[in-house]
Amino acid sequence: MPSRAPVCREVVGELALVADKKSSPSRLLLAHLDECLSCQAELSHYRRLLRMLAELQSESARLPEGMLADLVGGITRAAERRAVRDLLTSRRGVYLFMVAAAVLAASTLVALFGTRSHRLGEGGGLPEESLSSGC
Amino acid sequence: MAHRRLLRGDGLNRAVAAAQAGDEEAFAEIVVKTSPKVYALCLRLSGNEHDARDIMQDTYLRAYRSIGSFRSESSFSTWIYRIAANCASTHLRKRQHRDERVLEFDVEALGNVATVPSDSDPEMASESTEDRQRLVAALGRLPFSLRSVVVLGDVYDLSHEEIAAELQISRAAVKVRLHRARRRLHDELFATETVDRVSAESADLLALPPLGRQGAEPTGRDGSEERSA
Repeated sequence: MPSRAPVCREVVGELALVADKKSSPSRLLLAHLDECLSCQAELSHYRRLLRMLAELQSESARLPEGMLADLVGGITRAAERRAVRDLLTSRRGVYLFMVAAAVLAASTLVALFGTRSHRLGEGGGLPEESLSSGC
Repeated sequence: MAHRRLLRGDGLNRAVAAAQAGDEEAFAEIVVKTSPKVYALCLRLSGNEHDARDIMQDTYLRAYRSIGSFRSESSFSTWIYRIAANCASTHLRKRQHRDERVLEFDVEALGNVATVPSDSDPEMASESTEDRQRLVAALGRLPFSLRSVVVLGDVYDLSHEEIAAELQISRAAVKVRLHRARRRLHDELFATETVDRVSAESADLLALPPLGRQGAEPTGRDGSEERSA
Protein backbone atom coordinates (compact mmCIF):
# COMPACT_ATOMS: atom_id res chain seq x y z
CA MET A 1 0.00 0.00 0.00
CA PRO A 2 1.53 3.35 -0.94
CA SER A 3 2.28 5.69 2.01
CA ARG A 4 -0.05 8.64 2.39
CA ALA A 5 1.28 11.95 1.14
CA PRO A 6 1.86 14.29 4.09
CA VAL A 7 -0.63 17.09 4.48
CA CYS A 8 0.59 20.68 4.25
CA ARG A 9 0.65 21.32 8.00
CA GLU A 10 2.88 18.28 8.51
CA VAL A 11 5.50 19.39 6.00
CA VAL A 12 5.41 23.11 6.59
CA GLY A 13 7.82 22.73 9.52
CA GLU A 14 10.26 20.77 7.40
CA LEU A 15 10.27 23.47 4.73
CA ALA A 16 12.11 25.88 7.05
CA LEU A 17 15.03 23.46 7.29
CA VAL A 18 15.25 22.07 3.76
CA ALA A 19 15.17 25.55 2.21
CA ASP A 20 18.94 25.98 2.66
CA LYS A 21 19.69 22.79 0.68
CA LYS A 22 22.01 21.60 3.46
CA SER A 23 19.37 19.19 4.76
CA SER A 24 17.87 16.75 2.30
CA PRO A 25 14.08 16.63 2.09
CA SER A 26 12.30 13.34 2.70
CA ARG A 27 10.89 11.47 -0.28
CA LEU A 28 7.39 12.16 1.00
CA LEU A 29 8.05 15.88 1.11
CA LEU A 30 9.42 15.85 -2.43
CA ALA A 31 6.35 13.99 -3.64
CA HIS A 32 4.09 16.43 -1.83
CA LEU A 33 5.94 19.45 -3.23
CA ASP A 34 5.44 18.10 -6.75
CA GLU A 35 1.73 18.53 -6.45
CA CYS A 36 1.14 21.22 -3.80
CA LEU A 37 1.37 24.79 -5.08
CA SER A 38 0.82 26.18 -1.59
CA CYS A 39 3.87 24.41 -0.15
CA GLN A 40 5.89 25.34 -3.24
CA ALA A 41 5.06 28.98 -2.49
CA GLU A 42 6.06 28.54 1.17
CA LEU A 43 9.35 27.00 0.10
CA SER A 44 10.04 29.87 -2.28
CA HIS A 45 9.37 32.31 0.62
CA TYR A 46 11.92 30.51 2.77
CA ARG A 47 14.46 30.60 -0.04
CA ARG A 48 13.84 34.32 -0.52
CA LEU A 49 14.29 34.83 3.22
CA LEU A 50 17.63 33.01 3.11
CA ARG A 51 18.79 35.11 0.13
CA MET A 52 17.86 38.29 2.00
CA LEU A 53 19.75 37.12 5.08
CA ALA A 54 22.82 36.16 3.03
CA GLU A 55 22.86 39.61 1.44
CA LEU A 56 23.34 41.17 4.87
CA GLN A 57 26.82 39.65 5.01
CA SER A 58 28.16 42.18 2.52
CA GLU A 59 27.22 45.05 4.81
CA SER A 60 29.65 47.04 6.92
CA ALA A 61 29.04 49.37 9.85
CA ARG A 62 30.39 52.84 10.32
CA LEU A 63 32.44 52.80 13.50
CA PRO A 64 31.44 55.36 16.13
CA GLU A 65 33.92 58.17 16.61
CA GLY A 66 36.93 57.11 18.64
CA MET A 67 36.25 53.38 18.46
CA LEU A 68 39.13 52.59 16.12
CA ALA A 69 41.55 54.55 18.33
CA ASP A 70 40.20 52.69 21.40
CA LEU A 71 40.66 49.32 19.71
CA VAL A 72 44.21 50.05 18.57
CA GLY A 73 44.98 51.61 21.97
CA GLY A 74 43.71 48.47 23.72
CA ILE A 75 45.94 46.31 21.54
CA THR A 76 48.96 48.56 22.17
CA ARG A 77 48.42 48.36 25.94
CA ALA A 78 48.07 44.58 25.72
CA ALA A 79 51.29 44.44 23.70
CA GLU A 80 53.08 46.54 26.33
CA ARG A 81 51.81 44.34 29.15
CA ARG A 82 52.98 41.30 27.24
CA ALA A 83 56.43 42.83 26.70
CA VAL A 84 56.76 43.63 30.43
CA ARG A 85 55.63 40.13 31.32
CA ASP A 86 58.14 38.62 28.92
CA LEU A 87 60.88 40.78 30.38
CA LEU A 88 59.94 39.79 33.92
CA THR A 89 59.78 36.17 32.92
CA SER A 90 63.23 36.33 31.38
CA ARG A 91 64.64 38.26 34.43
CA ARG A 92 63.06 35.78 36.74
CA GLY A 93 64.96 33.06 34.88
CA VAL A 94 68.22 34.91 35.39
CA TYR A 95 67.44 35.45 39.10
CA LEU A 96 66.57 31.79 39.56
CA PHE A 97 69.83 30.77 37.86
CA MET A 98 71.82 33.14 40.09
CA VAL A 99 70.11 31.92 43.26
CA ALA A 100 70.72 28.30 42.25
CA ALA A 101 74.40 29.07 41.56
CA ALA A 102 74.74 30.86 44.91
CA VAL A 103 73.12 27.96 46.77
CA LEU A 104 75.41 25.50 45.00
CA ALA A 105 78.48 27.59 45.79
CA ALA A 106 77.42 27.99 49.42
CA SER A 107 76.76 24.28 49.88
CA THR A 108 80.16 23.46 48.31
CA LEU A 109 81.86 25.84 50.73
CA VAL A 110 79.98 24.38 53.69
CA ALA A 111 80.92 20.87 52.62
CA LEU A 112 84.59 21.83 52.22
CA PHE A 113 84.64 23.63 55.56
CA GLY A 114 82.92 20.69 57.26
CA THR A 115 85.47 18.18 55.88
CA ARG A 116 88.37 20.37 56.98
CA SER A 117 86.97 20.81 60.50
CA HIS A 118 86.39 17.08 60.73
CA ARG A 119 90.02 16.40 59.76
CA LEU A 120 91.27 18.94 62.33
CA GLY A 121 89.08 17.31 64.96
CA GLU A 122 90.48 13.81 64.21
CA GLY A 123 94.23 14.53 64.45
CA GLY A 124 95.26 17.79 63.14
CA GLY A 125 94.15 19.78 66.26
CA LEU A 126 95.44 19.84 69.89
CA PRO A 127 94.32 17.01 72.23
CA GLU A 128 91.82 17.88 74.95
CA GLU A 129 94.20 16.88 77.83
CA SER A 130 96.96 19.16 76.69
CA LEU A 131 94.48 22.00 76.49
CA SER A 132 93.21 21.39 80.02
CA SER A 133 96.65 20.74 81.60
CA GLY A 134 98.08 23.86 80.15
CA CYS A 135 95.72 26.11 82.11
CA MET B 1 32.10 43.15 -3.14
CA ALA B 2 34.89 45.53 -2.22
CA HIS B 3 34.27 44.68 1.42
CA ARG B 4 34.47 40.99 0.75
CA ARG B 5 37.78 41.49 -1.01
CA LEU B 6 38.94 43.45 2.00
CA LEU B 7 38.34 40.54 4.32
CA ARG B 8 39.91 37.99 2.02
CA GLY B 9 42.48 40.04 0.18
CA ASP B 10 46.18 39.44 -0.12
CA GLY B 11 46.87 42.57 1.93
CA LEU B 12 44.98 41.08 4.83
CA ASN B 13 46.72 37.72 4.45
CA ARG B 14 50.10 39.45 4.54
CA ALA B 15 49.06 41.43 7.61
CA VAL B 16 47.89 38.24 9.32
CA ALA B 17 51.18 36.48 8.54
CA ALA B 18 53.15 39.46 9.84
CA ALA B 19 51.01 39.71 12.99
CA GLN B 20 51.59 36.02 13.64
CA ALA B 21 55.31 36.73 13.48
CA GLY B 22 54.87 39.34 16.23
CA ASP B 23 54.46 42.54 14.19
CA GLU B 24 52.10 44.73 16.25
CA GLU B 25 51.62 47.31 13.51
CA ALA B 26 50.39 44.55 11.24
CA PHE B 27 47.79 43.66 13.85
CA ALA B 28 46.65 47.29 13.95
CA GLU B 29 46.27 47.08 10.16
CA ILE B 30 44.08 44.00 10.59
CA VAL B 31 41.88 45.95 13.01
CA VAL B 32 41.51 48.82 10.53
CA LYS B 33 40.62 46.47 7.68
CA THR B 34 38.24 44.12 9.44
CA SER B 35 36.52 46.23 12.09
CA PRO B 36 33.65 47.66 9.95
CA LYS B 37 32.36 44.16 9.15
CA VAL B 38 33.02 42.77 12.61
CA TYR B 39 31.22 45.77 14.11
CA ALA B 40 28.22 45.04 11.88
CA LEU B 41 28.14 41.51 13.31
CA CYS B 42 28.50 42.78 16.90
CA LEU B 43 25.64 45.23 16.36
CA ARG B 44 23.46 42.49 14.92
CA LEU B 45 24.18 40.14 17.81
CA SER B 46 23.87 42.62 20.65
CA GLY B 47 21.40 45.03 19.07
CA ASN B 48 22.89 48.16 20.61
CA GLU B 49 26.04 50.26 20.38
CA HIS B 50 26.91 50.05 24.07
CA ASP B 51 27.26 46.26 24.14
CA ALA B 52 28.68 46.13 20.61
CA ARG B 53 31.53 48.42 21.69
CA ASP B 54 32.46 46.13 24.62
CA ILE B 55 32.21 43.04 22.46
CA MET B 56 34.51 44.63 19.85
CA GLN B 57 37.17 45.31 22.52
CA ASP B 58 36.98 41.73 23.82
CA THR B 59 37.03 40.32 20.29
CA TYR B 60 40.17 42.10 19.16
CA LEU B 61 42.02 41.54 22.44
CA ARG B 62 41.28 37.85 22.23
CA ALA B 63 42.23 37.79 18.56
CA TYR B 64 45.52 39.53 19.40
CA ARG B 65 46.33 37.03 22.12
CA SER B 66 45.49 34.00 20.02
CA ILE B 67 46.53 35.07 16.52
CA GLY B 68 49.32 32.49 16.73
CA SER B 69 46.71 29.74 16.80
CA PHE B 70 45.01 30.89 13.58
CA ARG B 71 45.50 28.34 10.82
CA SER B 72 44.89 29.43 7.27
CA GLU B 73 42.76 26.34 6.49
CA SER B 74 39.73 28.48 7.39
CA SER B 75 39.29 32.08 6.27
CA PHE B 76 40.38 34.83 8.62
CA SER B 77 36.88 36.34 8.49
CA THR B 78 35.28 33.10 9.74
CA TRP B 79 37.91 32.91 12.49
CA ILE B 80 37.25 36.44 13.74
CA TYR B 81 33.46 36.08 13.40
CA ARG B 82 33.66 33.01 15.64
CA ILE B 83 35.60 34.97 18.25
CA ALA B 84 33.06 37.80 18.08
CA ALA B 85 30.18 35.33 18.48
CA ASN B 86 31.84 33.78 21.51
CA CYS B 87 32.56 37.18 23.06
CA ALA B 88 28.97 38.32 22.45
CA SER B 89 27.59 35.18 24.06
CA THR B 90 29.91 35.55 27.08
CA HIS B 91 29.21 39.27 27.41
CA LEU B 92 25.44 38.90 27.34
CA ARG B 93 25.52 35.92 29.69
CA LYS B 94 27.61 37.91 32.19
CA ARG B 95 25.11 40.73 31.95
CA GLN B 96 22.34 38.28 32.87
CA HIS B 97 24.37 36.79 35.74
CA ARG B 98 24.93 40.28 37.13
CA ASP B 99 21.17 40.62 36.85
CA GLU B 100 21.55 43.64 34.65
CA ARG B 101 18.84 44.63 32.28
CA VAL B 102 19.41 43.35 28.74
CA LEU B 103 19.32 46.43 26.58
CA GLU B 104 16.59 46.71 24.02
CA PHE B 105 17.39 45.97 20.39
CA ASP B 106 17.96 49.36 18.85
CA VAL B 107 16.92 49.17 15.20
CA GLU B 108 18.16 52.71 14.65
CA ALA B 109 21.66 51.65 15.68
CA LEU B 110 21.58 49.30 12.73
CA GLY B 111 20.98 52.29 10.48
CA ASN B 112 24.73 52.53 10.84
CA VAL B 113 25.09 49.30 8.93
CA ALA B 114 24.94 49.96 5.24
CA THR B 115 25.05 47.98 2.05
CA VAL B 116 27.58 48.61 -0.65
CA PRO B 117 25.76 50.72 -3.26
CA SER B 118 24.72 48.67 -6.28
CA ASP B 119 24.10 49.71 -9.88
CA SER B 120 20.80 47.85 -10.06
CA ASP B 121 17.43 49.25 -11.11
CA PRO B 122 16.42 52.05 -8.63
CA GLU B 123 12.90 50.62 -8.28
CA MET B 124 14.31 47.19 -7.42
CA ALA B 125 16.84 48.84 -5.11
CA SER B 126 14.14 50.69 -3.17
CA GLU B 127 12.09 47.48 -2.92
CA SER B 128 15.11 45.63 -1.60
CA THR B 129 15.85 48.48 0.84
CA GLU B 130 12.32 48.18 2.17
CA ASP B 131 12.68 44.39 2.44
CA ARG B 132 15.97 44.82 4.25
CA GLN B 133 14.46 47.23 6.76
CA ARG B 134 11.61 44.85 7.47
CA LEU B 135 14.08 41.98 7.83
CA VAL B 136 16.33 43.93 10.21
CA ALA B 137 13.32 44.95 12.31
CA ALA B 138 12.10 41.34 12.40
CA LEU B 139 15.58 40.16 13.44
CA GLY B 140 15.51 42.73 16.22
CA ARG B 141 12.30 41.27 17.59
CA LEU B 142 13.88 37.83 18.00
CA PRO B 143 15.38 36.94 21.40
CA PHE B 144 19.19 36.65 21.49
CA SER B 145 19.00 32.83 21.61
CA LEU B 146 17.29 32.71 18.20
CA ARG B 147 18.85 35.82 16.66
CA SER B 148 22.42 34.70 17.34
CA VAL B 149 21.90 31.35 15.64
CA VAL B 150 20.18 32.72 12.54
CA VAL B 151 22.67 35.59 12.18
CA LEU B 152 25.70 33.30 12.49
CA GLY B 153 24.24 30.54 10.34
CA ASP B 154 22.26 32.29 7.63
CA VAL B 155 24.04 35.64 7.44
CA TYR B 156 27.66 34.71 8.22
CA ASP B 157 27.48 31.13 6.95
CA LEU B 158 28.95 29.43 10.00
CA SER B 159 28.32 25.70 10.20
CA HIS B 160 26.09 24.15 12.87
CA GLU B 161 29.23 22.77 14.57
CA GLU B 162 30.91 26.17 14.66
CA ILE B 163 27.81 27.87 16.07
CA ALA B 164 27.40 25.14 18.71
CA ALA B 165 31.03 25.54 19.78
CA GLU B 166 30.95 29.32 20.07
CA LEU B 167 27.56 29.64 21.75
CA GLN B 168 28.25 26.60 23.94
CA ILE B 169 25.08 24.76 23.02
CA SER B 170 24.46 21.38 21.40
CA ARG B 171 24.16 20.87 17.63
CA ALA B 172 20.59 19.71 18.14
CA ALA B 173 19.82 23.01 19.90
CA VAL B 174 21.35 24.91 16.97
CA LYS B 175 19.07 23.09 14.56
CA VAL B 176 15.96 23.65 16.66
CA ARG B 177 16.71 27.35 17.17
CA LEU B 178 17.51 27.87 13.50
CA HIS B 179 14.21 26.28 12.58
CA ARG B 180 12.26 28.45 15.05
CA ALA B 181 14.05 31.62 14.00
CA ARG B 182 13.40 31.02 10.30
CA ARG B 183 9.74 30.30 10.93
CA ARG B 184 9.31 33.47 12.96
CA LEU B 185 11.07 35.59 10.37
CA HIS B 186 9.06 33.95 7.61
CA ASP B 187 5.81 34.61 9.44
CA GLU B 188 6.72 38.25 10.06
CA LEU B 189 7.87 38.95 6.52
CA PHE B 190 5.47 36.94 4.43
CA ALA B 191 2.32 36.74 6.56
CA THR B 192 0.67 39.46 4.46
CA GLU B 193 1.50 37.69 1.22
CA THR B 194 0.15 34.42 2.61
CA VAL B 195 -3.04 36.12 3.79
CA ASP B 196 -3.43 37.74 0.36
CA ARG B 197 -2.93 34.39 -1.34
CA VAL B 198 -5.40 32.64 0.98
CA SER B 199 -7.93 35.45 0.41
CA ALA B 200 -7.52 35.12 -3.35
CA GLU B 201 -7.97 31.36 -3.09
CA SER B 202 -11.09 31.83 -0.93
CA ALA B 203 -12.43 34.27 -3.50
CA ASP B 204 -11.79 31.66 -6.22
CA LEU B 205 -13.63 29.05 -4.19
CA LEU B 206 -16.54 31.41 -3.64
CA ALA B 207 -16.68 32.00 -7.37
CA LEU B 208 -16.96 28.29 -8.13
CA PRO B 209 -19.30 27.23 -10.89
CA PRO B 210 -22.50 25.37 -9.97
CA LEU B 211 -22.08 21.79 -8.69
CA GLY B 212 -23.07 20.25 -11.98
CA ARG B 213 -19.92 21.63 -13.65
CA GLN B 214 -17.47 20.92 -10.79
CA GLY B 215 -16.34 17.54 -12.05
CA ALA B 216 -15.11 19.04 -15.30
CA GLU B 217 -12.28 21.09 -13.79
CA PRO B 218 -9.99 20.73 -10.79
CA THR B 219 -11.42 22.56 -7.79
CA GLY B 220 -8.66 22.33 -5.16
CA ARG B 221 -6.05 25.04 -4.98
CA ASP B 222 -3.52 22.69 -6.52
CA GLY B 223 -5.74 20.06 -8.01
CA SER B 224 -4.24 17.40 -5.72
CA GLU B 225 -7.56 16.35 -4.30
CA GLU B 226 -8.76 15.44 -7.77
CA ARG B 227 -5.61 13.53 -8.53
CA SER B 228 -5.69 11.56 -5.30
CA ALA B 229 -9.40 10.82 -5.55
